[in-house]
Amino acid sequence: MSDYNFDDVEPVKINEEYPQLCQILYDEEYTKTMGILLALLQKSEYSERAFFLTQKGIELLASHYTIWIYRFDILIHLNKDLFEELDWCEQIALENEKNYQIWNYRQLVISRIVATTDKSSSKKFEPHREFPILEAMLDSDPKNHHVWAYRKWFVEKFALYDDSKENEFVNGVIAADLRNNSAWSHRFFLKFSQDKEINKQVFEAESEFVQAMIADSPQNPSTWNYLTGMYNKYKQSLSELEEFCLKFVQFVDGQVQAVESSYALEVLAKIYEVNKTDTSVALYDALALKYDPIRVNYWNYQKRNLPVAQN
Amino acid sequence: MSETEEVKAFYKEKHIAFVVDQDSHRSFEYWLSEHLRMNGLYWGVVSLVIMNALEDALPQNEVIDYILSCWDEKTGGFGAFPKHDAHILSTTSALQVLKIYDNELQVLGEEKKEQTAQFIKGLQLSDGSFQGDRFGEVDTRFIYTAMLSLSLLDELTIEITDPAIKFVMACQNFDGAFGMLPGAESHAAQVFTCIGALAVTDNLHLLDDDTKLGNWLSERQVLPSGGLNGRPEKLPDVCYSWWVLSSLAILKKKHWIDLQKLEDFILECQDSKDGGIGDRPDNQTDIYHTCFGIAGLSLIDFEKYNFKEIDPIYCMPTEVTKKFRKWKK
Repeated sequence: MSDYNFDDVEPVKINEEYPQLCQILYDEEYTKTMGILLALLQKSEYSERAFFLTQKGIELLASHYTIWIYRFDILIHLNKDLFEELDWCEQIALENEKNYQIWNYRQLVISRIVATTDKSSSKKFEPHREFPILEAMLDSDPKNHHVWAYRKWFVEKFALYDDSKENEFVNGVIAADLRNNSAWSHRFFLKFSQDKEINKQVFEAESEFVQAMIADSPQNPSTWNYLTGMYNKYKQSLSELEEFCLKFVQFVDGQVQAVESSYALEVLAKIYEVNKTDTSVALYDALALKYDPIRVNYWNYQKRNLPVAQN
Repeated sequence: MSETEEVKAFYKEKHIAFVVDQDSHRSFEYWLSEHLRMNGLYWGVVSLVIMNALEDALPQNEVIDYILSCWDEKTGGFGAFPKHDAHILSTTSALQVLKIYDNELQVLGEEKKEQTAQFIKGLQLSDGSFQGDRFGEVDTRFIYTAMLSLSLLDELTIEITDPAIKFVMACQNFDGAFGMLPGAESHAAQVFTCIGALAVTDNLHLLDDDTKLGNWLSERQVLPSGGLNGRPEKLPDVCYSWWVLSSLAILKKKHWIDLQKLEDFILECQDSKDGGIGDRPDNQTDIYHTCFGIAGLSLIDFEKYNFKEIDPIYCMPTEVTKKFRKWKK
């Protein structure tokens, strides 16, 4: 507070005037900072000292969305350097991992840069600039839902679906943890969100890739969801997966055995629904009784909905 | 049946004291700090009303005074705390609490009701989605809360719901579940808000085959705890006893998970000494997890606990929601 003078500002008394139900025991620094900040906000003052104070406010309570809005308004009014703002924002992000207002704010700043910069300018926004901060955040918490959502926005904004660095990144996260559902979700988004119709080449390559990942760790919900998701999206026949699924289960005298993946059982039951209904029944029974008994009601529901077995 | 046949207790009086006793919450900076205060009030009120303890525990006039002190003169609607900008989430919490006390919202008056409706409608974007406030953040949570609030105000129209629901359906993913934006990772809380939005606007029929979604939801139950997680390979958390179970309840598929195991899990998350419920057994308790743990128990077996029955669409007691004028397309 020492660089700027706030003597002329009458601080808002943030505790005294309010109903009993919202008394919060603030410390002195919080009360002083927020009191002056709110007073400046009420006066619509867009100044360097106000800007400075928004930083203090955010450092005290990064989830106070009113302060973020105020800061952005000042940023625009004073025509401040937006790239410097992005750098500052990264520091706050690293110190407040659970905060998501930061990412919305970042979108606002980047959108503003893009909107106000000529495409041919040397000052235009270079997307790969974002990669280090995103990597740092996801390194620290590989399943951070808000950062992945931001990353998705970013891919859309700069059309990075086929960007080699972006794909390398998501492959890296998958390699580090095959069970990271966020990474698989992002991969699906990169590979398939753009194509309404099937791209055979991409489809087959992905199918092969996911099957290899499943082989590495057969009881992984993310990879199975991904695989069946692909087939569903492009209306491909699940029976193409029969041979693959049979790697994870054996039938001995009609009995289900040597099961390495309950998901394989589920897919096979779907595949055999019409032409080998009895086997579907056996598979649902195996799931209900042994391989996934916590969902017995779901398996029985699936069984009841099978087409009537042909005798 | 379990070996020990131990009947786990629900520590009702301790939870009531936990909700009401402000002082013990001073350390829970995150959940009761300013920007969540209105939500915190709603979580407290729901916890108490479901436990049939609201009238005696909280002074009604103080609650209402607080809510009205959060009214945003500039835009209409409610902020989280006095002098905060109005936000869709705090507006919804405010309306829900007021509606629990009075179905006609008389304490608001016609003018404020109208202004609140205008505030909410003003948050809708051209693609049908809703911002939380003028900060611009977009999330399917805001669609649900907007639909819910407009429903409480009897202000739903087809011009609002059709584009909103179109956006919601665009958020359905390859795994059958829903994310916060089109293409975003499926997450149980977003599933609840999307299904909730469909339910409030009489659009559940758009889920023409909800088996895949029901399946995804049922897969949230993990062993050995019996708790529910929010997405694959994450830890169970008591709040998903609400987000997942209410979704299943709306789809009429509650029995697709093992309710007994979930019930045991919720009870284990209680603090038997100081009251309150935490996200996982032996973890720090807070008002948010207390609310959704209790809501989960109500969904599982409200009669057993002498609770009020909770409405899975509105997360309010059914004796309150049955008085609503439910909008039809």
